Amino acid sequence: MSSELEPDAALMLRVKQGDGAAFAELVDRYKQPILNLVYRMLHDATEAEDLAQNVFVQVFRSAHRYEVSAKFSTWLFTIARNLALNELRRRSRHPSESMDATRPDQDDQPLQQFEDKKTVSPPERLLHGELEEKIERALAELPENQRTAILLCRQDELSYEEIAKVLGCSLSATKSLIHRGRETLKYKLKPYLRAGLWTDS
Amino acid sequence: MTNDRTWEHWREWSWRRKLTPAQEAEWRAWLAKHPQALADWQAEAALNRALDQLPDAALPTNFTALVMQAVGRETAAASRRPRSPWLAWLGWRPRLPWLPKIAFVPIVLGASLLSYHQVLAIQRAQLARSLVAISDVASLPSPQILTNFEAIQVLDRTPPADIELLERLNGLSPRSPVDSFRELLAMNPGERKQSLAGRAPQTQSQILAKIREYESLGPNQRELRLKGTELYFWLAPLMNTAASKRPPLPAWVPPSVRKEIESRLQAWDEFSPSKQQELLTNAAAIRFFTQLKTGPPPLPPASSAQQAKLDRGILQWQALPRSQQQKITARFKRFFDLTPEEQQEACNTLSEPERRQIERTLAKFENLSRADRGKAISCFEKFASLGLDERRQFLKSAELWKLMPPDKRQNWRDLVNEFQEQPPSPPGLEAPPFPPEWSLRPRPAPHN
Repeated sequence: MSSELEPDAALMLRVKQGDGAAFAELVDRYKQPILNLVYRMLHDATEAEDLAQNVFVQVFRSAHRYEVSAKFSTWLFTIARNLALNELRRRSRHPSESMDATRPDQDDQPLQQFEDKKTVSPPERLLHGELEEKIERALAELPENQRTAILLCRQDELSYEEIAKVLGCSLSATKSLIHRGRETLKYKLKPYLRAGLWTDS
Repeated sequence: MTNDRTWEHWREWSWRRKLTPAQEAEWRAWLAKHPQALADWQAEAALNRALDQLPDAALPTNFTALVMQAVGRETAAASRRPRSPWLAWLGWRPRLPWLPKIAFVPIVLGASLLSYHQVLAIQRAQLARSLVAISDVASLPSPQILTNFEAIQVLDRTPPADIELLERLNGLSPRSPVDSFRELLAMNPGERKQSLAGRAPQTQSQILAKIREYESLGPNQRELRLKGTELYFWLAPLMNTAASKRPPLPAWVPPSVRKEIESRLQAWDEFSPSKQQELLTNAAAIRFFTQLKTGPPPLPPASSAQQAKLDRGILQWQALPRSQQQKITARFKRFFDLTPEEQQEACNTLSEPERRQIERTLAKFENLSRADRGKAISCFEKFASLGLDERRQFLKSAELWKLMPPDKRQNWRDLVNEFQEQPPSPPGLEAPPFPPEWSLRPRPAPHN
C-alpha cells in the first residue's frame, strides 16, 4: 500500500508506527530547506537551528495525527512557519532575551557567516558575498508573508496551492504576495539585476 | 508591463522552477514576437538567478543526530512519566452534544498550557545536552582557575631574569655583567681561567657552574635568558629611582635594549609614587614588569591520561561551528538561572552516566558567584580556543598558580589588570624562536 503513496507519506506512515530510521530519513531530507526558511525568518543562526530542531520534534510528536491525504512537505513547512511566527511574537514581547543580540562592535558584520561551498576565485567570491548580502538584506526587508511566499516558491516540492495552504490564504492572494514581493526585490536590486551580475554559475 | 496570459503563465512558471529546453524554446519564440516584454523577462530571470544563488544557512553536520537525541529523550521522559488520570478521562466521550462547545475554551487553554510546558521541557533538555557537551572540557582546569585565566596566562611566559647570575658576576665588568658573561661563554677553558684569575676561588667555581648551566641550554633559550637578565639588570634599578633623579643610560647600552627600557619606564612612571613603592616590594610585580614578552614555548606531549582526555575534548569543541559553541556556553550559563526543581527536570532528560558526568562539573560551577561563574564560562571559551602548546603551557602555569599564597595571587591579578597592555617589544629585542628541545623544568613559584 505504501508503495503507491508519495515517498514522504510512506515514510510518515512508518514514523507513525515508531520507525526511527524513517524519521531520520525525513529529517535528512528536509533539514536544510527548513533551516533556510527559519533562518530567513528569524535572522539568528543559533535560534534558527534550535527552532528547526523543534520543528522536527514537533513533527515526531504529532506523527500520530498525520493523515496521508495531507502532503507531508506542506504540513512540515506549516509547522515551521507557525513556530517561527511564535518565536517572532515572543521576541517582540521580550526583546532582550535574544541570545545572540547584535553587539555594537559587530554592527558592520553580516548577520550570518556562511560556509562558501562554491569553488570561485577570491575576487568572484568577494563579489558574490556582496551580492548575497544585498539580496539577503532586500529579502529581510520584505513583509514576512511576502518573504515566506517567495522562499517557499523556490522549494521544488511545493505547488502554489500548497504554498497557499502553508500561508493560510487563497491561491490568488498567494500569487499576489509573491508578485508584490518580487516587484519590491526587483526595485531594490535593480542596479545589480540590470548589470547582469547574477549568472548561472 | 505585459498582461498577456501566456506571459503570466510563463512568468509564474519561472518563479518556481527553471524552464526545460523545450519550454525555453517555446518561450523564446513568444518573446521574439513580443519584444516589448523582453526587458521585464530579463529582470524576472535575473531575480530568479539571484534567488537561486542564495546560500544555504549553516547546518551543523550532527543536526539529524541532535534531533534524534531530542526525540529519544522525549520518548524516554514520556515513558517515565506516570499516566495522569485526567488523560484517561479525556478518552471518555460524553453523549451531551453541547458539552464540546463549552469545553472548547478550557481545552484550548489546556492545550496551550501543555504546549508551553512541552516547549519548556525541550528547552531544558537542550540545556542539559549543553552541560554534557561542556562538562568534558570544562572540568579541567577548575572554574577557579578559569576565572583567573588572564593572570595565569602571563604567569610563566618566559624564563625569569637570572638574578643569581647577576649576583655572581657583580663587579666583573664596569659595563653590563651580561656582556661579560657572554664573553666568558665564548672563551675556551684556558681563557676563562685567565679571565677569572683575580677572583676568589669560590666565586670562580660559582661562575664556572653558571657557564656550564648556560652551555647546557640550546642557543635560542640561552639568548632569551640572557636578554631577559640584561633587561632586568638595567630596568630594575631605574624603577627604584624617581624619574627626575634617574641617571642617563650609559652609551654602550644597545639601542634595542635602550628603547625597551625607555618604553617600560614610561609606563612605570604613570603609576603614583606610592603605587610604585607598593609594587617594588612585590617580586612578582617586578618580574612581571621586567620580563620579555614572548609566545609560549612548545612543550612535550602530555603524559597524563586526564590531559589527553582534555585534548580530545577540546579538539571536539574546536570542531564545532562558532555559533554552536556560543549556543552551548549561553545555555550552560542559563542552566544556573533555573530553580533547583527545573535543573533536576533538565537533568532527568539525560542518561544516568551523563548525569554523573555533569554533576561533577555542576558542583564546581555552582559554588561560584554569578559574576564569577559568568567570567569562568567566558574564560572557558578563551581557554578552549588556545592551541595545544598554549593550552599545556597554561595548565603548567595553573599548577604554579595553585602554589601561590592567596595574597600573592591577588597581587598578580591586580598587576595583570593594570599592565594588561604592556608595550610590545621592539624588533631587536624579540625573543628568538624556541628550539624543539625546549622543555620547562620545575621552578619555584614566581613569588619565591
